[in-house]
Amino acid sequence: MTSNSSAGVSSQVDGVVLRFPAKPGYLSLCRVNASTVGSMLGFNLDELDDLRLAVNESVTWLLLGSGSAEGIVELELEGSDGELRLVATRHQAGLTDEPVDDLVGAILGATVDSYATSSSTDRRQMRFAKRASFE
Amino acid sequence: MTEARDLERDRLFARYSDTKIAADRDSLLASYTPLANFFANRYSRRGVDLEDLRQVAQLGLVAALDRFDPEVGVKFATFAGRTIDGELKRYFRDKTWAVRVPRSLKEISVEVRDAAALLTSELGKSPTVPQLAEVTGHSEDVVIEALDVQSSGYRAHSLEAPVGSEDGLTIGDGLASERREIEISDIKMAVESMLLTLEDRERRILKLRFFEDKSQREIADELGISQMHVSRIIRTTLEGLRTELDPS
Repeated sequence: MTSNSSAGVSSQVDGVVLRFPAKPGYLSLCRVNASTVGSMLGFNLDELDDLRLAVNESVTWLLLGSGSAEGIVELELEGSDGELRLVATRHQAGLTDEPVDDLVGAILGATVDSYATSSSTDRRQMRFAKRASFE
Repeated sequence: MTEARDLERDRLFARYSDTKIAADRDSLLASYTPLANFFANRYSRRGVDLEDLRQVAQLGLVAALDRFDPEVGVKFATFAGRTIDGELKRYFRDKTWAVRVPRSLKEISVEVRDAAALLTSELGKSPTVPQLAEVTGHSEDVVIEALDVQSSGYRAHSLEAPVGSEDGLTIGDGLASERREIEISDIKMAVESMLLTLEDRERRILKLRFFEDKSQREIADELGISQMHVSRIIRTTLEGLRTELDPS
């Protein structure tokens, strides 16, 4: 991890990978880890609030649909130059297609800078990126 | 006396194992109720009514009786003790721990939120975690955990809220299994109609935040309320919408 001139802010953070059962009980783990990485990158409280909402909605979306509470979720976090990138993937055979509904889409659209999803029968993935404003 | 009682219990166990006669089961339960109460008493003075604890212990005793296999060679009292203790621990974990934040962290959470409000006012912008850590004297890790506790109103009542006494089963589990039945067009209609049911201010805040992409700070300024208040309204309103969308 390297630091830039701003006190306590890292220009690059080590990648973090979480692997946990596809159960909602692990949501707080995701939020706290994402907040930690976001804070290292210089996110302020507004941005951390948004980040927690986005992580919540993203992982919740992964958990929806067939085979609920089964399978494994992998959450990868990395960041550099004030940008946090998250890739959350659920691995589970026989997943049904679960579109991102309007409300979740609106929340993600407002809380992160970009997001994308992809699905197949054995994998569902959410990616997003969020930048610190340094305002 | 004890020997005679043990012999009587052994006889009851043997007969109950073979015949499953309800009267034998009741006699065995009555016979071991003092054991269940003993374990319940060990967990008293932890903010839970003793009568509730005794009921939980009794459930553990019933479970032990149902699962006990005399052929294994372990004494029932030993087996029942472990089962009852496990039931009580699970009770505290599911019913208490999951929804009750440790007092110290709760207090820190309030402290952090107050400090955040003060710093936001002083700096004219949202503070960072290191700034909050410096002002409150807590480590950055603790500040981050405290921030997550603040959103527990959104969290504890949503996906992670435990349902019933089944191990690890949460609202989210039920929600997920229900959701696959709902067509996306129905969801869209549901969301639109639910937005109409919100109070004017809540609807306006959600619209500003998620459809006009305004920051919490901008919304707070526009509505003349604090940013903390906006944050809280967004969390509770989203939670309300989720509950409406997925009543399971």
